[in-house]
Amino acid sequence: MIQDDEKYKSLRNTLRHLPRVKAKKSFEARLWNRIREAEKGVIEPEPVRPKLSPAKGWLENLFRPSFAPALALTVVLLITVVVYFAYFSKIGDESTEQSITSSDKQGEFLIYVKKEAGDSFSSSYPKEYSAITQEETGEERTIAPTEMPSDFLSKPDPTRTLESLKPDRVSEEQKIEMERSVDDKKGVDTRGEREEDGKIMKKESKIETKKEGKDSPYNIRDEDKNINEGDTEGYIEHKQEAPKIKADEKNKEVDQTLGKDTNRISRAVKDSLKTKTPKTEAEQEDSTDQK
Amino acid sequence: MVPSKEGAELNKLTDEELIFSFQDGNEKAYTEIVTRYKDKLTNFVYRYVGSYDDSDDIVQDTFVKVYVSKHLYKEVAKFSTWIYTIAINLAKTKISKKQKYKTFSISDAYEDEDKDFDIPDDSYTPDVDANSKFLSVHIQKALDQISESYRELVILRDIEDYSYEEIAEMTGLPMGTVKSRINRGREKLQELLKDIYKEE
Repeated sequence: MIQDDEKYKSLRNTLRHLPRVKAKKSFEARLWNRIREAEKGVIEPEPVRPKLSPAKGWLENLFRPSFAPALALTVVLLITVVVYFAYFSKIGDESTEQSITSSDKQGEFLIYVKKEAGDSFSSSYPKEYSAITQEETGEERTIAPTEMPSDFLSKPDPTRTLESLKPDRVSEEQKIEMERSVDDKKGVDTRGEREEDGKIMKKESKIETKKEGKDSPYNIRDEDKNINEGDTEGYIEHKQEAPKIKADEKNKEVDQTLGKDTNRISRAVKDSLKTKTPKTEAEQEDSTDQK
Repeated sequence: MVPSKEGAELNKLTDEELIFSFQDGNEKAYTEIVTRYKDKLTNFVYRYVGSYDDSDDIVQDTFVKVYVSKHLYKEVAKFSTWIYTIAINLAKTKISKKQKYKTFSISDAYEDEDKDFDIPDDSYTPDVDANSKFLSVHIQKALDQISESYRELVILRDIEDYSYEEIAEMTGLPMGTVKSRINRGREKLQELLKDIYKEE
């Protein structure tokens, strides 16, 4: 402290020896005048605001004239916000209602309600789309009351009849399918036969393509693709004849193998052999060999 | 004017005794206080504000405040500290008001001529010769250039010769802040008054 004072000794001396300014001669007279005026109240002291309650004072501050434009702007903004939420939010609700009602018709719109915040994401995810089963997660999954499968609102397609469709736009296959669906309603189940035929055709066609190739008698699938309404009976009959031909061929083979013993075996036995299945024939062969 | 017997007795009283006497209703004690402090305060405020008229107004306000608020003084601090604190606060208020409503000054336009158009009162006669007057003006300009916070403390310490403790009490600043600010103020002032020191 003293070191600092000595460091600036010359400066301090200069400042200390500066000429001292004196007050004006009339200083005291003027001062007393001012004091008298202050006592009389000629010089109005600063207006002392009466102490208001904090809430009242705050309100006064808020509604003072200098705040008028800001206050007006705030009020306008508030009204705008209130109107927006009161009016436009209703419009939003209506649009959502409409979308839900339209979903009844289309069967495509789905609403999945998310469960409580503590639940995992998988729980709010539709069950039918979830790849994780309950066994994998080990959690018991409760279906939300509002949760529903995606096809809940869907409706089956209205049954189309031949009359309702334009003839130009219906192919032959579609016509057949429609007729069959009509038959279903009547009680005639043609679809079952069709499926069986299809299965047989598929299996046999595989076998034939391996063994016989193009010359197979069953390789008529391509030709029968565009089957007319009247041709279906012939087609079924034709299919039924095929196993008969096969059986005849096998009978001939049996005749050849058993040609020596034909004299000894009676006609009745011979007939029975002919009509037996290949499995029983094989058993018979085994039994004859043993003999 | 021969001082009365009562006035002679008042001269012997300390500042604190005078103010207590005034608090008891003795207006002559107040007059004695004014006599003791009017020049001191005028000099201090003039150096701080840089304008004689402003300093006169401020000192007048200070004494009015002392008169009105005499009951607020308590023997916690020295009277000089109290009255200087009032003067400093009023001076700061005046400066801030001036800065707020800054107006064009004629003296700024004729700065090259180094003339001040603040017309002093006829009674204002500082007991100085022309050379010391020039020096006073030069130093006053340098004081005006340094920061207010430094200026205030440098004046109190180096012109009014108050102790660091008293300055800390007047300004309400910690002692360390007072010291550091005084040193920085001196540094800046010395830089500004380089030419004077060369001559010396």
